[in-house]
Amino acid sequence: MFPCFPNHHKLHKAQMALDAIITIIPIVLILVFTLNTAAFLNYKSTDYMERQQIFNKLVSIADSVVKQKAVVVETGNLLTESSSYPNWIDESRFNSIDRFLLANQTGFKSLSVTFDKPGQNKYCIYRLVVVGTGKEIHKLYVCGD
Amino acid sequence: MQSMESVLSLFFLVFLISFFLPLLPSARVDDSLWKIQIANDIWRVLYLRGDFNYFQDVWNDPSKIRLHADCNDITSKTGICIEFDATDAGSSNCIGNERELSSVERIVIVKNAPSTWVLTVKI
Repeated sequence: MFPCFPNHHKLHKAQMALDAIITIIPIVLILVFTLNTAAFLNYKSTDYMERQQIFNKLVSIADSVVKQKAVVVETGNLLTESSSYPNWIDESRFNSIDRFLLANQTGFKSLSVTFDKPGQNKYCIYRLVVVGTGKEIHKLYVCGD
Repeated sequence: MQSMESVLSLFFLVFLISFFLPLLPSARVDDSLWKIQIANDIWRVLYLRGDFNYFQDVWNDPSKIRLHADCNDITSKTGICIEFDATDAGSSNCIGNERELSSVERIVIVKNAPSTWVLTVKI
């Protein structure tokens, strides 16, 4: 009487399974896409924060070098106070800066404070200074990674 | 059939966004503090070299020549263009399409009277 009934039932089940798959695919796609985008944006944000932090550290180190650590200092006597000259570099004080200690204190693997731009460091900034008694204009590079 | 079309459209959209997302430019490091420091460095360097001393008594060419030469020296070393509002003794070897980095305002003694000068640095 109803020879087609079992086949029709099977067909109905198969259609339901196909519908379910078609429904699941977009959900999986959206999920994968959302996770991927979140991971990518997180990576970008972390990378930016890291670059900004390194840059800020280099700015601080360079500022302390050109204003305090390597500047010309005239020692005072009983009547006059000692005075320092920001941006005027005393070469002997400049050479005596402990770069290794400075790198350790600021969390750099390597740090260079030089008048010539070193090639190997990833991040560099420079400041303008005058050097020695001749007061020649130089760029002072602070580089680290 | 409509479901299949929707899935394909979504697949295409996801592919397109995934392709263009990494091409977005990275955020630039905020270097505003460094720019201010560089403008102050330039003023300080010119001051230490005594380039403003000669303006005290006279406002003449030799005083401008010294300042002008140092400004050109700084520009050739750094690419930074220097301009003063009070004198044309700034850099003359600029490229021409620079944008302003920063500016500082200082007092210079000109003809025995204090005068406010603005130094603008461009790159």
